[in-house]
Amino acid sequence: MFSGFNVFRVGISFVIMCIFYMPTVNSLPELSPQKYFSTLQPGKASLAYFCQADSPRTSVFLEELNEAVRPLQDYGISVAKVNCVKEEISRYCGKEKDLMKAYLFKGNILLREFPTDTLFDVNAIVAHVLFALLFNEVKYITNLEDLQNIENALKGKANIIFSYVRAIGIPEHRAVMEAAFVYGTTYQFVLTTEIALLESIGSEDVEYAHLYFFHCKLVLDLTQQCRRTLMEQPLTTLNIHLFIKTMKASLLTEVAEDPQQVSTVHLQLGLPLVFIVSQQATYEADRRTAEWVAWRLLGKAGVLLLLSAGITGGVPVEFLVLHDVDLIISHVENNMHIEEIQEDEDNDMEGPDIDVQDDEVAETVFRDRKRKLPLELTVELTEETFNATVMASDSIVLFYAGWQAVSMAFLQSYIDVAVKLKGTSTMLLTRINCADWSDVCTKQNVTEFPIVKMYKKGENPVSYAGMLGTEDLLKFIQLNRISYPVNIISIQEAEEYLSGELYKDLISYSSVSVLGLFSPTMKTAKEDFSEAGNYLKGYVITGIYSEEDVLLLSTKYAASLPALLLARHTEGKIESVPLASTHAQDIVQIITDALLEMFPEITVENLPSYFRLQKPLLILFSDGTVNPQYKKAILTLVKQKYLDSFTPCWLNLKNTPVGRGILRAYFDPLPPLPLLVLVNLHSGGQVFAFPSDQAIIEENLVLWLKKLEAGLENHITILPAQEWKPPLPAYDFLSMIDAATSHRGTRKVPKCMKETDVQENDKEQHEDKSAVRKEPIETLRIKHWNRSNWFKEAEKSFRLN
Amino acid sequence: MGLSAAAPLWGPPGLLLAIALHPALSVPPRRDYCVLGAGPAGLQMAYFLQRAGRDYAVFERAPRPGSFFTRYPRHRKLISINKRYTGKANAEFNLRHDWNSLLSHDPRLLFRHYSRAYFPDARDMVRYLGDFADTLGLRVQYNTTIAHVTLDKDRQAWNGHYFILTDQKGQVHQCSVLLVATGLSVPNQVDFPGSEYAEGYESVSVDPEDFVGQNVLILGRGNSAFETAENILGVTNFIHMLSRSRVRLSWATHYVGDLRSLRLNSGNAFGKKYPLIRASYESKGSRGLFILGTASHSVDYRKSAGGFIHGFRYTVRAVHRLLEHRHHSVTWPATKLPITQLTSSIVRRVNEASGLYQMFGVLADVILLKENSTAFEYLEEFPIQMLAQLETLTGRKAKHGLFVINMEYGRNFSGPDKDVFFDDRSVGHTEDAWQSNFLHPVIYYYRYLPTEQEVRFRPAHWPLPRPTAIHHIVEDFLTDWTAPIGHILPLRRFLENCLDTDLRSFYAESCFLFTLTCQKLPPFCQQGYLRMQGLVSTESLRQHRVESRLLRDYAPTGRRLEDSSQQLGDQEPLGSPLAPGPLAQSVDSNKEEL
Repeated sequence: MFSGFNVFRVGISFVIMCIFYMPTVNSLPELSPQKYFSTLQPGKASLAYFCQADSPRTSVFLEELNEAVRPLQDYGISVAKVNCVKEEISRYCGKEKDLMKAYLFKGNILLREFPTDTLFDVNAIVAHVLFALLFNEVKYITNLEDLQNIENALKGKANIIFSYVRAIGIPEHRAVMEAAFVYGTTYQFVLTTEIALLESIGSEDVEYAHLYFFHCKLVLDLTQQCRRTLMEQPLTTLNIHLFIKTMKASLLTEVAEDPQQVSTVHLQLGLPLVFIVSQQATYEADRRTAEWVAWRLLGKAGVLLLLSAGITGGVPVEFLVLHDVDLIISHVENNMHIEEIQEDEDNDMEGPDIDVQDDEVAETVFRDRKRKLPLELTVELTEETFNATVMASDSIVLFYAGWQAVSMAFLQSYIDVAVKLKGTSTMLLTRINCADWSDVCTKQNVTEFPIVKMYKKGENPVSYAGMLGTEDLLKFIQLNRISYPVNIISIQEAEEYLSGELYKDLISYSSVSVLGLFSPTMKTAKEDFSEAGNYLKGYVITGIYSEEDVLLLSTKYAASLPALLLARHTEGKIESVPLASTHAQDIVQIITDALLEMFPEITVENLPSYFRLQKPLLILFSDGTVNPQYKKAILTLVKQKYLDSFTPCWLNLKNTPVGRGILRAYFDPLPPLPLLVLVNLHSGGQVFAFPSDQAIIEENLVLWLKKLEAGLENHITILPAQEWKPPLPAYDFLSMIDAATSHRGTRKVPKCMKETDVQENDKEQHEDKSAVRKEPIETLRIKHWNRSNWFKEAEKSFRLN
Repeated sequence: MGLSAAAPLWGPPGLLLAIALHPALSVPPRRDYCVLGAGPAGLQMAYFLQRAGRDYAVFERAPRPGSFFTRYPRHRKLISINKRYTGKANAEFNLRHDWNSLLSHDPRLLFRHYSRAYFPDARDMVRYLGDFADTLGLRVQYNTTIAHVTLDKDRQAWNGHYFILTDQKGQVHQCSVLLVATGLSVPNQVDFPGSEYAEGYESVSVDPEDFVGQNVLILGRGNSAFETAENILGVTNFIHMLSRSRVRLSWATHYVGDLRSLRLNSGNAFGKKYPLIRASYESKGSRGLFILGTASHSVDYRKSAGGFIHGFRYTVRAVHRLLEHRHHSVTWPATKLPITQLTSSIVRRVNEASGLYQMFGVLADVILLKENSTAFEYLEEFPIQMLAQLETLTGRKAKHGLFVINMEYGRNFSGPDKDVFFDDRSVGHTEDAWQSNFLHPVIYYYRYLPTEQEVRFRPAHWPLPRPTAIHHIVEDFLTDWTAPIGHILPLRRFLENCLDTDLRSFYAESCFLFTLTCQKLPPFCQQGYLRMQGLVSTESLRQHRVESRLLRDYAPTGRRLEDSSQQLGDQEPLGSPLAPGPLAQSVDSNKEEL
């Protein structure tokens, strides 16, 4: 079968919005009971709120009611506030102030009374009133049986619009009622608030409102079920209207002309058209396929069967050849995603989106600005108090700028540290806002924000260089309770130090304790080690032992002096590392390398230290803790040196949920976990996947690695190598200035006119811009427009079409 | 201050020096720097020279500093504001509203400790200047009138010659650099029939009693004229004021030399009044001779504040920095920062810098980009007319492009006789920022350092040559440019598009995702996260990230990265049609800011 198709996309057209009228501005009329009843006209609906004359003139309810005046008026329903006065006694006037109610009349017949609390906002008012008036058009049901009865009754006769809303009076309910007002005579509307009913017809995501179109009119056989189409967009008046439009359109259209010339309601609604190209020989089969596709795409795209004669002449048409019908569906649905976004933008954007914040830090800090932080847990410093404070006690100072988002995001973590340390720390937590005390910050050599510095008596201030987060800063502060390297004075103390007993409360912050072993004569080596230990303070525990009996230790741990002993507390292991070079910098390097694990759990916090090694990462993605057998297999390979050119690690999706995002970038579709992946981050960006149908055991791994090395494995994807460009353009002020200048130049206005001329130019400038934006003026105005109004107007305009 | 010293110096046709070449008979005491005059500008220069540990001396005719203020203004009220409370703690910012203090590291030497008056008394200025010289131990030789200045050619000298100064006692001083800060009190000479009956401002009586019942004609309509008129207003029959130009009020022209309230203006005597100097304040005639203070006002005459303490205190500092580089190989001070700090460093300066604000259009900050735009150097308050010579004057390299941050008024705004309160004078939308009228920051981007030709033949009314791109930060009447959407976001977009990179900040979690799913990282992740200094998000911020839909739905495939704006739509719209999208947020954020 040859089936190709072509998707035409067009800009969203807001034809339906082009025609509208401006309503007269209305406010809530206030009448006496007598006057009110005299205004009632037969057949006309009216909502009246009766209240005591001496009641407060404003209330939340009255505000909402006032807002409902215009939308209700669009449905021909008048609204009034009736002031009950002593002279005129009306039965609608309640006896007590708080027992006032609103009443809905049709002519002078009372339809319903509403306690004011049911009419909690403008949506509720409109929804309730329409619900009462459209009693016949909208059937309210509570069980499946009712639904089946209605369905059966209407088979072959009419279609049904069935909706579920969580409650009566909410915006979705209003949207359904507004749609019923327009379409109530054409379709049978059925409404429920029963979640069980929704579930029983097989809906998912039952927490949201749902709307189905039941195609019952086509059903001739009464034993057959009506086909159902679920509306996928959120329930808004506009969306329901668009949805019904597409339901009304013919399912499949046959065309023989140039696809460019074809226009259907779908194009007008901004939906794509799918042309399925057919040949005479396969016509029957193609038609069946097309129908199947059309049902699947109902509400999402228009489907047309194009007889190939149509494309022989005229413009060449680009088309896609797809071998699987499902691909048509997924192609449309994937592209729909973009459409939706564009639609969103067109609907909602007040201006160009370059004014919308796309910096996640700035945006989240802004959104969180109203939350009160327990700032009092930290001492706020000023120019006057800064020196005295940092001289008087060991202090941590956060230098920040109140207007800078990154500073303010980190301030939150800083306060969290203060909360955790409350009352336990000898370190004073302070902060200084450099937006106020610029000079102090400059004097402390702070030229960027945020910066954390530690001030300790008799020591130079130290800048914190770790992650800007609660955990790492807390670790830094805790570890800095003592000075490094710790001077160990006896073998016994050294053993306690290595076992973790000596600093029991600190080893949770440093998984490794380092002990430098030197003979008493190794002066420079000791100095260098001390320098390294001091440099690493706050990140790792370091100690030094250089007593006469140091040989006892070096013999015990088989280390020739000078040497480092590394005690890994979690594993209970002690390793020795010879110190070939004793440059402080090299020692720092040796220690930081020693902190790395052989098969670590990779996390957001530790990835940079492994990334630094510049080797491809071999990552085992695991949903939870890694399977000990896999771990054993990989550690065996590590020991056998198979993995020397890689960084093996594993990722726990429970601890690092963002790992799912990574998997989604690697796999499509996602195979079941666990997954072993090799990512060549530093050269080429290829990603290789260990076959998920093979067991993660040594033999398979070795074989796979050999194939990789031999270049026999295909990569599953290559990571994009794009540069990070500006996310959006900036305002081009230079062109705007040029445009204004050239404009003025060509006009040659007399000098004295210049001033007004400039302003005129400005206006023109604006108009030019809006033209460039290609946003019809109507779409701009529609935003100030109550959605219910255009509804009927839209209907008219469509009829005109 | 040297009335008499100045007189022989300024020949009427702009000739600066009476050059007399004579071989020095004996070797006089030699100084690297000689400053003439211990007024505000002279003391300010002395301060910087002292702090830099330079060999200098100040020569002052009078026995104490600031002798001008012992006589002028005749009616004893200064017209420079002394706003002691601004509602802000930022000392740098506060100098925007302190027009009398000199720059120093000592917060006690701020004028607000000397007077409570908004328009202070001249005697307080005399006292202040005396304290400034004494407290800082500035080396001033009082009672020394320099009667002669001559040039002595010498190839060894820094500038090819020495300045030979001879004082009233015949003492000779040899100077490598001569800094003239003698002020400007050469009275305007008027010449018309009857001018012999006119009395000059310098000698007119300040006792109103002397004018009782008289008809008085005041020539000129500047600050001195109005000061005099106000003093005698109550006792005269008529006061006529006559001048070549119409009354210019400073709040209409933004020039402090114009009348501020009906309270200096010297007609068109510009050519006679000011010496010919370059934008680096060096004399066009003699290398090594600099003009400081009021007399340097020709550089920005009628444009900025260089003729007043609150302006020339910054230009003096700029001259000092130029000298430090020229004679001591000290490059112009600069802060080197990673590119991720670019937006912040500009925001910080435009919000607090006083020099930029006071000397708008004259001194501007310059950002020099490093290779590949990964880092930059920030230079403060460079004389922008010397932009083409920046590399030789500062010792810094501008090979990879630069930004210039200048403060400007709108072109439609200022000028005599313009109604500064015209309709729509304020601009509130970021897209209209280029039409801002009030003083606001303007950022120029150049791919290459402009040449001298380009600076000289720049477009009319432009302070700088045509840039590659320009950005205006929308005006703000409180000069607070920290609004996230209104000010910072458009600035970032401008900088991003100039540098062709993404300058957004990201949480560590996002950087983690990028590291494992992209071959390249945005600068913020590269310079922060990968150096183990990532920004960890707190729980409440993470929550906001999800709500704002900025939390990338873990799906940055190649396609999405190409257009990162799509991240906004990465999540399916939620059930509620009222779910606030990016729009709701931007609208109320603007509201919040304003």
